[in-house]
Amino acid sequence: MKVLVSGLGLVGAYLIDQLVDLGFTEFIFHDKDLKKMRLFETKYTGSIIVEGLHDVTADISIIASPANTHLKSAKLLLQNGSHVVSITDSLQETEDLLELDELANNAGLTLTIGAGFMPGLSCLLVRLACEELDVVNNIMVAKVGTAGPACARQHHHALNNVSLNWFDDQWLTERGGTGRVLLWFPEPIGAKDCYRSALPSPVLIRSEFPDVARISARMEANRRDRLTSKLPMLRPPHADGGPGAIRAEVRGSKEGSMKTVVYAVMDSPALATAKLAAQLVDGISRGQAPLGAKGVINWDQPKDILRKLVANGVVVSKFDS
Amino acid sequence: MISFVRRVALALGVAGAFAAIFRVRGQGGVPPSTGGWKPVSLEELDE
Repeated sequence: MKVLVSGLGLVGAYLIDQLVDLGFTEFIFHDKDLKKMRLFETKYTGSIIVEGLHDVTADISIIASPANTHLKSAKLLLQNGSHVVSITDSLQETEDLLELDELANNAGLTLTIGAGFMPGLSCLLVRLACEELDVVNNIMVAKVGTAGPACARQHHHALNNVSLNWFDDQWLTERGGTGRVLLWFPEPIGAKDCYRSALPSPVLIRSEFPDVARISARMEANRRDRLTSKLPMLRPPHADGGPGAIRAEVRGSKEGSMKTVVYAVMDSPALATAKLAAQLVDGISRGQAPLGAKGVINWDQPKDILRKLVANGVVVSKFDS
Repeated sequence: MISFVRRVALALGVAGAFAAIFRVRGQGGVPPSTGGWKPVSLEELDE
């Protein structure tokens, strides 16, 4: 089975190793940096490199390039007959990718959107938490940390843009960097101030839970992040913005009593993203993926994916009060 | 010069007063006093 990896940044590099561990051997690499592609071609025997995606014939493609470059690639790859996994965390791009549902469905292909730390792994935590409740009223997800430099740039962009949250049967748009909530993550991350940002999680979560009254997403930011969010990034981002954490807090009722369930993961965002994306590729190769343009939250058997991730070293924690 | 010093002192005083108000009136979260994070085992995910 031929797997295309487009984008050979931090996540892309981890991802290939994860795919090798799962038994995938035939790779096609795509990146704008030819020198980097040559390095990967040398490292992984039998792999090939491509400079464009027009004539690529891969069975499954993962787009791990910077956010807001996925739409064109996904469309091309679907037209070429490839299943696609996109790790985008851009709100606008997620909405655009969801519009490829008809194209993917007609071709009998899957386009999995937001297969990262958040959205992605956080969506699985939401599914896990919701299973413990009879009625769900409120879902809030939040994240701390970034993967590579491209992810850090998207983080900066998200803080400076309009957030979209579902609140009592309507979409509310509010300025990024507002709505502070102090949230607790597993140690060593601990307590962090989290703010509204242009995050795609509410859009994806609502596709699975359309009857939930409130769905929101927050992102950690410090004073400097908020103060400089309107400016270009003042210094180059870190090569790896980890360690990070995600949490999913779900409120509702169980057997008539109010209950809050909180799950979280503390990990390297890049490595956790790579582990999840590799599991999704494995799932697609086994025919377990939903057809059409869907989020990770719409996949069947979320517990199976989580079980494989836990077996692969991802620590899922539950807040036990 | 004295006027300049007086202005700086006034600015610092006003800033300090605002900071004090925000510190007292700010709505920080309440740390959890019980419980904690517990890793989920593979067996729990099998249930």
